[in-house]
Amino acid sequence: MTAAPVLVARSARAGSQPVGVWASLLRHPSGRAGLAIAALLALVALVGPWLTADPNQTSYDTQLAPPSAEHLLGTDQAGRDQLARVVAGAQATLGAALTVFVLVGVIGVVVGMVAALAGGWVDSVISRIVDLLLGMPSLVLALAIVGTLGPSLRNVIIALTVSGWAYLARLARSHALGAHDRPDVIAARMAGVGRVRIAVGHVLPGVTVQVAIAATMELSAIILGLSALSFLGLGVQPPTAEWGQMLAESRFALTQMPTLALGPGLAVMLAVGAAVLISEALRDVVDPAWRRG
Amino acid sequence: MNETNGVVTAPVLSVDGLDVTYANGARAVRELSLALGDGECLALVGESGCGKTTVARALLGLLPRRTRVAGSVRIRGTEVVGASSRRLRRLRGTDVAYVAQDPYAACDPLRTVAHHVEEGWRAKGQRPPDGQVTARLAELGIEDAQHRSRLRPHQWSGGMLQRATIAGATVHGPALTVADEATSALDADLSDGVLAALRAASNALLLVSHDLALVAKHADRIAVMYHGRVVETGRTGDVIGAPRHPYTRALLLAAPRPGAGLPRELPGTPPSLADSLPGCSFAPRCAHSGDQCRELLPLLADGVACHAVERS
Amino acid sequence: MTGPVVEGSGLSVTYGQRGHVHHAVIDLTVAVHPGEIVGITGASGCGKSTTLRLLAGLEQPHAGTVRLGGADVWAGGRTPRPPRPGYVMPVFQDPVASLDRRWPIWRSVTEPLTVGRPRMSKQERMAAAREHLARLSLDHLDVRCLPTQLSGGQCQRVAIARALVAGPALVVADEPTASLDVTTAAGVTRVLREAADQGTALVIVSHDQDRLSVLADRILRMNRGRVVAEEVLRPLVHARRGTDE
Repeated sequence: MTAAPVLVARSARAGSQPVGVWASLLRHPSGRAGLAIAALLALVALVGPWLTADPNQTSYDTQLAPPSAEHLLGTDQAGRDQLARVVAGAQATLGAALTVFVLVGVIGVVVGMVAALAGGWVDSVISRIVDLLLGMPSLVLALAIVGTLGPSLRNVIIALTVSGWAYLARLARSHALGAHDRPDVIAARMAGVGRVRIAVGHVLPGVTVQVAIAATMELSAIILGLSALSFLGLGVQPPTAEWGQMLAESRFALTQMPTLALGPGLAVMLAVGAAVLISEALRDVVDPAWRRG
Repeated sequence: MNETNGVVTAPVLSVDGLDVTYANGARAVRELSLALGDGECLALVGESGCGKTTVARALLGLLPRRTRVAGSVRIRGTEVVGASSRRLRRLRGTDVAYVAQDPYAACDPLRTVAHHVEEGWRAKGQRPPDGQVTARLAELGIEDAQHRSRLRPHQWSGGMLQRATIAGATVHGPALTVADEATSALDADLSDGVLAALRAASNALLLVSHDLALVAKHADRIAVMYHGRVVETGRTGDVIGAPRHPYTRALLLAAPRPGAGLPRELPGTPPSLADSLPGCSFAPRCAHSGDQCRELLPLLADGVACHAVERS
Repeated sequence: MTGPVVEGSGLSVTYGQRGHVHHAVIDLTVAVHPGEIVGITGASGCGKSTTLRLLAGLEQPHAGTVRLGGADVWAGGRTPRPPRPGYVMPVFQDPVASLDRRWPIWRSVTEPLTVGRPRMSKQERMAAAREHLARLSLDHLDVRCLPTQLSGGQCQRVAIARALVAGPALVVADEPTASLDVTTAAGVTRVLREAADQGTALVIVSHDQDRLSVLADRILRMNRGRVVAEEVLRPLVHARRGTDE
């Protein structure tokens, strides 16, 4: 068998080995940076609260203290340790952002696939709803929803989900429709494979990856939207710490203690940065690597 | 360059020991040497991934950055390897021209065909002389060129449009024309006409192709590439009529011929360009390979690089 | 089964509207018998690909009928009804794109076998894939490979294995060797010939007339939607069918 060794040489070729999305993400420079920041933020959110002071412990002796060895980021108007509040805010902010991220992703994929698969009037109705939602400024829509439901973190999550899934659903629908004429799908159809099995086996994986990329790009918008709504006082309720709300409070002390905005501001920046880096890396990794091998 | 008796007999193209390694480690061209004289047509033939397109790109100075290039490529005596982009720009069009594979992809769909032909002059900051566009198109066998040149590319057939891109590429009568698979995007029965037109419009012509049978009808000489190296080269009649390298024979046997039986396949796949085998790259697929072939690289001697030929 | 595998009669397809009408296929009649290879050739835009889609039951003709195994495919209206699932199977031009790039090849090859048998285990499917790939002399392939790890010729033979695995009556191939190197195209040509020798009917669209002339039993030359010439190269189809029975 002369062909065998040649074949081994070929498949052992550097770069031809199709590696998983995770592994290639780790190889990508900005993917690595993004994942590192994300891991750091996750660690802070999970472990941080045990290491820092009580974020809700008020102390009216040390209001608006400057950064010091005792309070690394200073204290706020109520004398609470700002570092402890930034760390505590990580859980609220990132937890809410990730919840919205997962919700919009899942709803987007499911609704988009159903529209593409069902076709006919189902598709028309879904597409009109999507068009309607995309026609509205998403933050205004979210504001209106929280305004109706009342301010709370849960309602902010609902509002951002309602205003965020439409774009992803449209994306999922167009990718699913595009798969209809793919050779592997035609072959499956001619072999007699059922529509649902084709959709799950051949179409869903590709659509999921594309939506995941787009949703990761939206993650930064979600974090900012969350902070914006909290900033307006519609998100978490005091005394729970949340970055957007902390930024809003630091505004009142901007002239007296400008460093107060530093902690939550940097935290939002890091989280958004990580999301942007990961989404860019994901796009690079999934597209050319899969196509060219 | 080669001055004999005071007369400059610089060949149009001389490639000497060209070696190209891409940034990803693929060594696509290995110690390759070629020469091409005035009015001559050389076909560079090989399967996909043999490095033939890389040779074409190297001649045009179109290799990506961070590619390591060694050896020398001279066009009319001017060194291309390591030349500045300004110098390369000056070479293109006047000394070396390029004809792409897919004429529709090579043309801007919003511009007329005449615009694309005129581009040859505009690229050099000149105004196209009156009537020249029509004349050039007519020379390449396009009827009613006056009217047709005002149409857009999609209104032209592939074979005709490829003739127009040839006309545009050769307006300055370049010394060398490089055509990379110039007919593989066209219907098979149009290929011969386009290649004949290409030959007529060019001085020296390098045809890069995977189709040995097709180029055999148009080229004076053939060089067969495998894994970055030329394994056999010679006059077209000799290479086709009496192929000596086992790979050349396999290529000819694999092509279907009317009246003959089923074409014979060559088992296995070529080694990756990132790998280097100690001996002959073709040895793993070769029916005549011996121990020597696996250990020692055969050198091109008398137009063929094969230990089995040396032995006999 | 002695009748033709596929029979198209009076097929016409017209595209376009508002006075700008393009007749892709005009009044085309053709029948393909078991074990026969029919080649269709012609310049681009002559209607050969449309004809292939018609015979495969992938496109509904505007006039005429397509009978697969004697039954009108379009009898049920807008949904094609082949005699059984997998009666017609396709082979495409781009070998890499014709396989799901996320699936190891054992999954692609055995997908047609799972129709009506969704509970086939992974072990069974891998074994079946190995067996069928061996028939196309691809027994050295690791069935866990992804399409991107294979060469074009290997992918195309895997795609042919998928087309043949469930025993189709007809295989339709659109330029099956056009994007392959000549050395690997030869292997694909042989595999297609062997499929016909085992009784599968093939319709192959190709611009490569030399290849069709060594591969096909009959060549239809098309121009502007019509068959303008029919060349019978090997009138041995009926004889071969006789020995099979």
